This record gives sequence, structure tokens and C-alpha cells, in this order.
Amino acid sequence: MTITPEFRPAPGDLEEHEFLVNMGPQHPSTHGVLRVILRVDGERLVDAIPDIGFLHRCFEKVAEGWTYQQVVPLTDRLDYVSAMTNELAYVMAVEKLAGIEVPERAQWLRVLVAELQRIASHLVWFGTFALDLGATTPFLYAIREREHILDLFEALCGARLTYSYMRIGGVRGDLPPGFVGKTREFLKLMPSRLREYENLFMRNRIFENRTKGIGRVTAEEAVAYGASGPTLRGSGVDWDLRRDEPYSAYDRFEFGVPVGQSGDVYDRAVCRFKEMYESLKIVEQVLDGLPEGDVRAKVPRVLKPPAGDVYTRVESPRGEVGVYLVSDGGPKPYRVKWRAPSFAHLRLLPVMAKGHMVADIVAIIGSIDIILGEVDR
Amino acid sequence: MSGMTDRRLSAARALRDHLARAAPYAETDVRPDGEVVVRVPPDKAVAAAEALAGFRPHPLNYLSCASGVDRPDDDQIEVVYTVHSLPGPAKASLRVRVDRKTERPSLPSLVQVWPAADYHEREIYDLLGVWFEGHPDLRRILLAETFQGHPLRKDFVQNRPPRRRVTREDYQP
Amino acid sequence: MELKRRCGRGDLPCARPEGMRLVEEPGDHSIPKDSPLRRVLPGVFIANLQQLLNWGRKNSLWYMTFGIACCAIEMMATGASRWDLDRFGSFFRASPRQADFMFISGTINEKMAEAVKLLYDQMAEPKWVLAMGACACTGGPFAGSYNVVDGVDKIIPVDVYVPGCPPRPEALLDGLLRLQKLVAREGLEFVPRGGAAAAGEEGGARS
Repeated sequence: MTITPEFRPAPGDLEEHEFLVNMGPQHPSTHGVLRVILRVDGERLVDAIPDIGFLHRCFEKVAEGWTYQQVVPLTDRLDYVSAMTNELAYVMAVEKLAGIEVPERAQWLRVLVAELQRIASHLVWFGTFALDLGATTPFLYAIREREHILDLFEALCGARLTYSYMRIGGVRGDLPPGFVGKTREFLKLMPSRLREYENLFMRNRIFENRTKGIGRVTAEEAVAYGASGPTLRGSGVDWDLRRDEPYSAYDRFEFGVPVGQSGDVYDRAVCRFKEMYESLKIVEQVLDGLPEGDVRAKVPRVLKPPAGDVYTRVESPRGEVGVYLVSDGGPKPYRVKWRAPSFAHLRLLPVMAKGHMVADIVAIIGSIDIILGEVDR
Repeated sequence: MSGMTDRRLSAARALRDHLARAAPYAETDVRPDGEVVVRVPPDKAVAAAEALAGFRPHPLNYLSCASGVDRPDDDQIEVVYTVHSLPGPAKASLRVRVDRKTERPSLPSLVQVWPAADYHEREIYDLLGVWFEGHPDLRRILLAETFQGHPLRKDFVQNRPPRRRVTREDYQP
Repeated sequence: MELKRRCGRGDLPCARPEGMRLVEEPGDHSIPKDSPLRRVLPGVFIANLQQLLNWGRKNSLWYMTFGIACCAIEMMATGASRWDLDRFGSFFRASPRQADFMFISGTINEKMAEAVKLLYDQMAEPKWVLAMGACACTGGPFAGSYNVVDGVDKIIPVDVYVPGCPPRPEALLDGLLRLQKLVAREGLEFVPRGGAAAAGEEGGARS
């Protein structure tokens, strides 16, 4: 069949095929080096197949060659947007294995930094999600607020992104003078800013149209595929490790857990956004009741936990971060397996994407809040 | 937190009794923190997984993590499925050991019991070289398709040719 | 970071390159006061084409968004509200065809190496590469492992290295300013890529 300028196809002349669109690994919206192969039928997605491994940095093998204390900064680099919760998961696993008890003040400080980290991570999510959907302004606002938190972290431990603040047995150091004052100022200014962003973006009609009904996941699917965090709660499953399996000092604080209903992109986004308000509440309670004491337990310089294994999990901004740690009695871990929430959520991507338009894939990937550092390790 | 441990321990005892009936071939152990360790041979893995998922009132329906541990001293590779009940206090780890000396250490895939096992099993195949029979799409997930070897094994040796620094003059597009 | 020339307004680095001068500039004694040139052609400046071209290029270096790992977050922060990259003329362009340079921010591994090379090849000349972070410089904390390439300069030629894990935004800006200095030194001759003997002639300013 030759195509000339006078050609007019009759129905039945043209064949239709599905075609593959390659998205990534370099793409402004994939939040890292994620490659997704989209099978499209016209404009409709038939399937979205993730291809990962572009950031596989051999964390688990490298960790087997370093001592337990040395692995702490390595864990920072996995979920780099929320490094504190990674460190927390790892040090909790080692402490459980070695039977180390962490002092009360250190537990409270861990909660403090974890919640501040949650707000910072959700701000990055908010900014980049808005950027993906085409709104460039919220990104700048979100990063501006996040800089306040990073200033606090920098005063606390000297780093802005990869902190190495947690230690096996506690935290690195106590709060510097002026920290509590600055944090309280931050707590005063943040709620009004969050309300502003809610009005600016989350209540925006374009946002609602782009996200309501997109990327639905039922509660059964979410549980079956191992979803956690806002991805799970967006589907209506009321499960939060901080409240239901409390660790550190979380059982002392009152906070709400936002839960969605329909499991679409909108519900997941709203869950994540509302969590920021709850984290502010927790930070305020921590500052009000912080007990005195040591910030670090006495731990031998060469730490040799007894042989055995343990699985600990914490609620990171993305979901359940788990560490399966196996020890053989030596100074270096025998096996560190990292359970990343984004790894499990990526398995949900084909489930979420089926039947939607190509343009929706960006919103779906953004709603998972994926970080390739922890997916690929 | 001690309230949670108590609930977990009572759930663990109930789970152990359930497994004594539903999976009598399994060796079960209740740890002090409430985790139930279930050891089964590879051919009984699917049945044991179904027994765990069928436990009432806390079905272990949530696969948190599937890890592979290379144990060359025992000539085995251990695959550990850590499962929880969601919501609920029960926690168990299903451990299956496969013989490492064979060309193709394999065990049945648990994807039909816990769909979350999909990517985890692909990763264990990729990094440790354990085949999962019945897996819908068993191929490398983290490393390139052309990668040779299974790096997380304790006896893995790197054999990449060394790369030299590239300057503008000798760069070849 | 040395700021040798400052504008009269404060301490912003002066964008006007050396050698460029306004005829009307007070204190400019090279053109006599009674010369007809001052009356006939006000507002003329004399510059050398190479400097002018380099000045234009260095003040609008558009970078390709290629955030790979943790350093990408710091790169985003550098481009955002507090340490604005746009005031240096740098703006992100997602397509390599429209970009002048590439921040390699993160660890490169064997799987990613082909993609990096492909992207670099797709960029149009003149192009530069800024290796951001310890991983892009030499492999970082993951150096020596089975899947990591120890430094992106094993794949593509790098012009500026910014160490750090991750480097602070100020360090990244320092790297960008050094890149701008590098661009200012470029020559006008086109130096063919790929080991041609012509690259060795004097006058080819690529160092």
C-alpha cells in the first residue's frame, strides 16, 4: 500500500498495532534513573514495565565488608531524601541483635529527627510532584521550607542530606544551644505555609482532575503486593507502623494517621500532605517533653553481636523500610538485606497504569514517591 | 511496646499450634520477641506458605521481605520470607534451604501465595543464583542482562576489565 | 572562589569580560577626549570575537537534568529558591540536544554507563561535563564494587570535578563558576573530537 498525497484510507485498510514507548532512564519526571517501557495502544496504556538497576550500587555487598558502625553512613545513601529513617532502621536492627538498650533521651531525639525528616521528604515529594504535573512554583516554595529543616539538621549534625546522625546505641550528639528555639519558630511558621500550599495546589481543580480516579489500587491488591506507607493508606488500609508497632518513643505521642478511600493518586497525595501536619504535632510534643539524660549508650568499639538474625522495620516517609540483618558473631555483618518500600511499590506500577492515558503515567509515578536509591540499592 | 510483644507472643503460640496441624512437616520455633521461625524443605514451601496465609484470626498475608543468605559453610543458600499479618500482631519467617553445590539451586516460587514475592524472588535469582520454579518472569532485575555471575555469593570474584580515564582528545563517541 | 572584578553596585561578579570597554566609560583614556569617535559613535564597545562568544556562552550555560542519585537532590536545591542557578544563566533543559553541559550527579554503574555515553553523544558541541560528588569523581563510598564504575571520567571526558558527598550547593556553584572560567578560555577553532592529530596544534585552546 503506497501512501501518496491523494491517499484516503478506508476503515480496514490500516492495521493497528501496539507500540512501545521508552521512558527513561533520563527523564525529567522519573525521580531518578527509572526506565519504564510503556506498551501503548494509541493513547491508552496497556502495560507499564519498569526496568531498574541503573543505580545498583552494591550496597549489600559493600556492607558485608565494613564494620557495623561503618555501615551507618552507607545506609544514608539508600533513600537519600529521608536518610534519618534509613539509619534508624539499621541501628535498631543492630541494637536488637546485640541487645543494646538505647537511653530515653536518645529515643526522643530519634523521633524528633525522624519526624522533621518526614516533613522534609514530603516537601521534596510535593515540589517534584507539582513539577511533574506542570506547576513550577510549588517546587520553589517547598524547597524554601525544606531549607529551614536542613538548617536545623546542619546545626545538629553538620550535614544537609546524608547525616550519619544515628549511632548504634543512640545518636551522635545532643541538641546544640538555640536548636529548640529555632525549631519552635519553624513550627510556628509551617502550618500557615502548608495551608497556603493546600489552597494553591491541592485544592486546585486542575490537580484534582489530573489525579482523581487515576491509578486506582484496591486495598486487597495493596496488601497482596506489599505496599506500605501512604500508598497503602491511600487505599483505605489503616496501618501505620508508628502507631501499630511502635518503636523508639512513638507510643508516647498522640498523632493522627490520614487514611484515604479510593486508592487513587489523589488520595495518596492527600495522605502524604496531611501527614506533614501530624509530624508537626509530634515534633511539638517531643520538644515539650524531652527528658534529660545520655544520648548514647556505651557500646564496645569493636561490636560483635551474637550470631543470629533479625528483621526490623520502621515507617519512613515512603513506607515500611525493613532491615534483615544476619550476624555470624564477627565484627562485620554477614548479610544486610534492605527492604525498600519503593521496590514493592514499583510492582504496583503496572497495576496502577493499566487503562490510563500515557500522560497519566507521570502522575502515577509521582504518587508512588519513588526513590531509586532504595529500589536499586 | 511491651503490650505489642505480648500480643505478638500469644499470636505466635496460636500460630505454632495451627502449623502443627496444617503443616506438620515444618520445624517451628517461637522466638522471645514473638517471631515464629518456620523451616521447611523446598518441596513443601508452597504448602507451608498457604498454611501461613490461612491462619485465622491473623492471616499472614503481607510479605515484607524475601531475602537470600549465602551459607557456603553449610553448602546451602537460605531463602527467608518474612511475613506479617496486616493488620495484626503475627510475624513469621519461612526459611527454605537449597543446595548450593548444584548448577541450578531451585525452589518453587511463592508468587501465587504472596504476589509481592515477584520482584524479591527475581532479585534473589539475580544476586544469588537461586531459580524459582513457576515464577512468571524470572530474569535479572538489578544487574544488566549480560552480567555474568551472582555477586552476593561469598565466593564471587570480580572479573571486569579495568577502565582507563577518558580525556577529550581520546574520546571515541 | 576569587571575585577579581566587581561592579560598582556591590559584590556581584562582573559579567563584562576583560578586554571589553565602553567608549563612553569615564576614565577611559585610550580614546582622546576631543576625538571625533566620541561624538560620532556613542555606546560602541570594542571587543574581540572570541571573548564575546565565550562571554555569551558562559553566562548562559544550560544544563541537562540528569539527576542520578543523592547529589541530584543537592543539585535541585542549588537550582531552587535559596541558591538560584538561574542567576548564573544556567537553566535546566531535559533534552540533551538543547543542553550545553551535564551535571553528572550520582554513581554511575555498568548498566547506566551506556546511557550516560549515549546522552553525552547526543549533546551538541560545545559541551562540557561537570562531575558532581565523590561518586562521579572517583566512585565514592561504593568504589571497587562489582557494579560501580569508579568515576564518570572512565566513560566520558570530564571538565570540572566537584568533590563532596554530597557537595554543598555553594561548592556546586563554585564548580559552575570554574566551568565558566574554563569556557571563557575556549578558542574559536573547532577541535574535532576523537584523537585527531589536529588537536595537538598550538592555538587549540582546549586544555
